[in-house]
Amino acid sequence: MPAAITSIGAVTGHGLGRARLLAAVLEGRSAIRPLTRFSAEGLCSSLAAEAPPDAELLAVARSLGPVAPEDRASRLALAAAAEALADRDLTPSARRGVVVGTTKGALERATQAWEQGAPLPEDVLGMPARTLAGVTGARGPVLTVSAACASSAAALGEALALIDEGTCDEVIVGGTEALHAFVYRGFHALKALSASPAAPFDAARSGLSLGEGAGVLVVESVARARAAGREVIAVLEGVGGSTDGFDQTAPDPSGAGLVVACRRALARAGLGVESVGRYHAHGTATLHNDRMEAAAHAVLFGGREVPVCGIKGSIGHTLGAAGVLDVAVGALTLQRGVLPPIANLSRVDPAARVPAVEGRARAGGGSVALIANAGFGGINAAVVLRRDAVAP
Amino acid sequence: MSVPVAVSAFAVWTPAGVFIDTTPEAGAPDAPLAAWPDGPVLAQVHPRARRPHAHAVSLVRLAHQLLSERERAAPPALRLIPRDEVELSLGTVAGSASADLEFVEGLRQRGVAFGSPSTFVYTLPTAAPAEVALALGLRGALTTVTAGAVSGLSAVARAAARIASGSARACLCGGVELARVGERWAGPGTGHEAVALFLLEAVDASSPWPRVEAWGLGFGEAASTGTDTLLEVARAVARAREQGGAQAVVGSSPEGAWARLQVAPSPSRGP
Repeated sequence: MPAAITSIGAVTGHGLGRARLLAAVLEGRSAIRPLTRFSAEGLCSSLAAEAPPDAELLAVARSLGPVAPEDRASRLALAAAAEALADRDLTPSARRGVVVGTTKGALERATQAWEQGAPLPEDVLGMPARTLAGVTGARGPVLTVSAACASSAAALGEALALIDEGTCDEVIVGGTEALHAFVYRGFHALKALSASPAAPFDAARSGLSLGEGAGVLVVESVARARAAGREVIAVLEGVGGSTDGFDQTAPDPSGAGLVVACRRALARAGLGVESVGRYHAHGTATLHNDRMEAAAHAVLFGGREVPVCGIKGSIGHTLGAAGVLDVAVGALTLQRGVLPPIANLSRVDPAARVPAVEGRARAGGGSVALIANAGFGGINAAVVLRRDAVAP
Repeated sequence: MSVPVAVSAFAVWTPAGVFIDTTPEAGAPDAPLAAWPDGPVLAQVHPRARRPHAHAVSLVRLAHQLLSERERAAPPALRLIPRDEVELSLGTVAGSASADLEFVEGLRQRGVAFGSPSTFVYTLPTAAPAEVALALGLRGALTTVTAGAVSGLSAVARAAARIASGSARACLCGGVELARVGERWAGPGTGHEAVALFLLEAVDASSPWPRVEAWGLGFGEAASTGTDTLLEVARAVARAREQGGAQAVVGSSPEGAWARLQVAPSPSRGP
């Protein structure tokens, strides 16, 4: 059974709210700028797409209640949830679940404890999900899902399953990731950071730019959404996952693992690949990823020129939040029948040739979107969205 | 759609030893894992794993042992589905805390621009499970699940739900809490190391293995009932195999998450 996406909240380098994110993505604007939150001295990049400061996050989160979490990932998630849950009934319910995708959760709580020689607070990874559960009356499953950079796409799969099997009436599903010096220095160590803003699929690209942010969606059965008179932004038709079995960091260059995930998602949706009108790429702007994804696109679509979109040139790579933010942009642009351009893309790499949407947004993209994520460990996840056939 | 779900094999590694399809013992609290028993082990983790993290190696060893036992003991009619369809989902609270601490210590000692790339690779909760997928050829979806002290029980419950609904056919699930760095415990809590793996499979009525018959997850109004719920699951499975009788395993965490799982003998086992 598919599920309806009926609410979207977002916090990104473009600021608070889905409207700012959508406007910037459609205009091809990039939020990747010089870092302000910590020093990048001696590192190969000093750029990132930073979300608004904590005070702004907490100001909007206040609409959910008097809560002030001690970690940034939870603050980001709360700020996104405040937008997604505006005007929603949050009476405590055992039929409401929370699923959050993240790779590092409240990491700073752990690093602070280690520095002080203090015991670690319980469940650092699960802090954002617990914080969300505490303010949303969720008494059903409250889970944190990690799957590297496919974490929040995998969280969407769990949310869809909870609706499909009848465990939940609605699931608040999100992804959140704060920008940590720890992670920034790690990507520097891997030589994966670009000194210039990330330019996915561009011939001159030189690596990724990190970002931070959160996306929160509310999913429920289509019938329930219609009965309540809620607008269905997009229909979540299927989610599929796979593992490359190739390497911890490098993706399988053939793209075979990602293709399997996409086919599993389409099979779950009961749709053929010919129905896909747009492909929202993981598009990190690393050589490994972009060439792998170009190979996967060619195999999956058999050479058909399915337009390729991607948002990491605009908001950076938000790691555990990337999947749900990709889905948020996919749903909003699918609803409007428009294809967003890939920010910072000037000339497509001939060695990673994809039919990228370049320059400016354009109409089109059909009624079915395929959204792909790939992460360390060779973990892949794909999401199929369909434009709702019924006008709101 | 509700497909019967069975536990075809399990493997538990605690400070007391390694237990394959037998009733496990917890061992001394706050103690490290027991030494790997004598006998054959996987010669290598994966050809491309140049410097595999010690915890990933431990996880690969136990998973390899479990799958070997599953394939050795089962009759041909109960052959495991192709490994490229087997999912992997492990509960964890500690996640990658040991690699995280090692990476932080490296930055402190060598400077922020000189972090170890081979350590950073393991600073994801999914890194050690990914090594299992790499080494053993599992190509299904891979995730970790965190829900406080019931993370492992939650991972097993969700795997059972996916198999029962027909969206998965087999899942290597369970829990892993490995966070020791020398004498230091990097994770939350007091430092009891354990790995518990269960192979859940879709089966038909004739299958002899114990069934997972019911499961549930929730949040709120819970009080902690302990952290060794996966050992209780393993004991319930062993009891269902050897003596019969259904058993519910219930766990909860101080943060409010709770989970329950009911294990029963196979109907084909008879009264």
